[in-house]
Amino acid sequence: MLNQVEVLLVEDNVHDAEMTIRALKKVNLANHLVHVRDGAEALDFIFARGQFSGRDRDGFPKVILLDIKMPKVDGIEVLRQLKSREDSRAIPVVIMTSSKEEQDIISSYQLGVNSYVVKPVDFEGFARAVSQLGLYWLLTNQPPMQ
Amino acid sequence: MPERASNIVESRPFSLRNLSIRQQLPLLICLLLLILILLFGTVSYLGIRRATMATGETRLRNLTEQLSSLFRQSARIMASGTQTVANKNEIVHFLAPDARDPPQAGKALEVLNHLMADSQTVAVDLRDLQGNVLLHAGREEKGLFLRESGSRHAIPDAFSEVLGKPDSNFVGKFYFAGDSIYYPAIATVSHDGKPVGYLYRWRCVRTTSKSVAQLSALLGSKASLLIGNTDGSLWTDMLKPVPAPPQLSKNPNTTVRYTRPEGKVIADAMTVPGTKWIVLVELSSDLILEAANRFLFWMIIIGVALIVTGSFIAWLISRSFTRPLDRLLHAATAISAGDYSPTVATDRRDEIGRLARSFNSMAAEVRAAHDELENKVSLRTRELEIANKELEAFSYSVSHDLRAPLRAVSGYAMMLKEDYEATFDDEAKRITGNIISNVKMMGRLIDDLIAFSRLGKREVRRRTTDMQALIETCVAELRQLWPEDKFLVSVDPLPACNGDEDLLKQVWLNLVGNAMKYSARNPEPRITIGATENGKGPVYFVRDNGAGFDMKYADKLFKVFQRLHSQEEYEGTGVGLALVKRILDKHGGEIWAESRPGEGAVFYFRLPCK
Repeated sequence: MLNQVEVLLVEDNVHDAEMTIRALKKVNLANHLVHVRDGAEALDFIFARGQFSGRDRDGFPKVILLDIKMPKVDGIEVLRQLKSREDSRAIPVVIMTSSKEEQDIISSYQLGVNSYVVKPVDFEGFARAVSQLGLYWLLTNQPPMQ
Repeated sequence: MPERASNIVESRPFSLRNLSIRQQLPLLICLLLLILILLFGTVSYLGIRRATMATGETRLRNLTEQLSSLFRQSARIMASGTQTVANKNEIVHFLAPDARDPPQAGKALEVLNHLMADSQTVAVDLRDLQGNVLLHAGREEKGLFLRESGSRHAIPDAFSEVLGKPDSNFVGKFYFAGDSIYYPAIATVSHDGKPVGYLYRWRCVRTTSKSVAQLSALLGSKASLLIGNTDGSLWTDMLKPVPAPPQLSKNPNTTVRYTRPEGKVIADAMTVPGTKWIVLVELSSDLILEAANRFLFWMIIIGVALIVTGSFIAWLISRSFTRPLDRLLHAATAISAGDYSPTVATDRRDEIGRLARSFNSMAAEVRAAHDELENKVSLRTRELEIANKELEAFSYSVSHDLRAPLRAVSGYAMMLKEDYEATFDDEAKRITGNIISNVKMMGRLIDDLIAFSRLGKREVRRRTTDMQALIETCVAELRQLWPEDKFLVSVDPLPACNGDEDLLKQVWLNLVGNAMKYSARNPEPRITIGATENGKGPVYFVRDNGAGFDMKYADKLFKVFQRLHSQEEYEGTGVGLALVKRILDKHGGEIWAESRPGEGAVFYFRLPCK
């Protein structure tokens, strides 16, 4: 359990990723964090395929922080695949995006997203939102039994 | 299509133009025929009536003349027969002045009695020149002619008839006595060329009703014969005395007309020469006019038949006109209702056929124009949809792609501040602070811009909105943004309105938010919210005692990114009032403001009733 991945950060923007990791670090929640850069990598990681085929398949992250707009496979598609499979449906997924588009919000919830967060533009607000999220999903929330 | 009042029962004054052509034509033909038939019928009826009347009068005259001469002949026979007796020697000798002795009387009486053999002769008198009855023969039992009897049946003395014409030989007047009518045939008895006396031969008018009927049959039906005295003292129908006819013609060649209880009659009268009689024949006008009346009857029958047939034919003709017109009407109605498919089929070559053909070509043109318009509209719609999609993509990428680098700038500036603030001098701190505040400003600008552009495609969802509840929520929300709650906000009663609650909330938040922002520096900031009514809908207002503005810039107030104050004085993006105006425009309402610098401002907005 020591190497259990707690947070899977799916984010193509390195600056956003850096700020997210920094915000989580400040509350000591970034120790078991994996950062992937697009949806394809995210799916490979979760289902232990491709470059992640050596990973222990049984260990699902406690929460996935998922951006929507990404190259290759976008966040909505990742969400669809996760929630359509029996084994991965239980993983909490939080969409973190800049988009306030109603269509994105509606389709995310219809696909079964656990939370939808719009990234504030200013860093203070952003950092506050990320640390609250981390605290809630990693400490407050009771994950499904592994 | 509005139903063109076809099913509205309207009481319009009657006019030919309110009728359909299908009714007009038969009605006109019917009227025309009626007038023609009436005119023709009246003229010909009057002509025929006059002609038959003339014929009837001629017939009447002839009849009267014939009857008159018939009576004259029998009177002459009677008079001459009497005269023959009067000339007999026995009579002459009896009356001769010198020989009035009993044996002569016996002979004379014998002659007189001989006259009595005639069944109609009821009495015979022999009188002297003074009228004294010298000798009398007759049916004594009746006792009619005895002057001295004093009987009420006695007829007046007929002697006056011969006064002034001592040698008369004629038939006298009628007299009524008892239940019979009598008349005398009077002959003068002369001796040596001098009148010596008179022979009165009294005859009874003894006609049976059967013989009268025969006479009537001779005259013809509905004609009757009257005979009377020329002095009018007695009139009879040959059976009994009758009242005198109402009128007699004064001129012998004209007839008279009068009314009997049985109907109108024309009558002609004529004296009978050699007698004191006058003959009158009455003919029923109905009889004379029978032919004319029969003509009238047939005229009416034929007239009605003509009118009915004429109207029917007119109806057939008008139907053949109006049928294609009806089809045209239906097609035109369909086209005006938006169905461009119907055409009017016709093989007629007349005006109606040409109308139908030109209607068809017009309909085809309209259809083509309509289709072209539809095509254009759908083309434009597609173009608009594409433009809309592009706009959506644009706002999507603005909201997503522009934020990310902005957040990065903000993030790294914060990191710089957090990690290296200890080593910064004041200028470096000021610069990083400015970076951070500008990023915040840009973030707000992007958010407002997206909200503004998103409003463009948002539909207004109208329903009755409780403005009172809405304003209270807004004021409560806005108060939280100001830590020191120093605003004196008074809200007058607000009428409800018909609008989109979410959008109207934006309106209130912006207007009241502005009022707070611009009056916050007043030591006693007061905000009044209320409403009036201007007839076109409720007018709401927000009044503050804040900074106000110069009215000459009022036209810039509601334009996007236009501000009347600098960012340093009052922060803001310049989108808020533009957003408010756009919301009110979408509602069909309006907004305006009144202010003076330093004296606060009032913002009014009006919403339409519906």
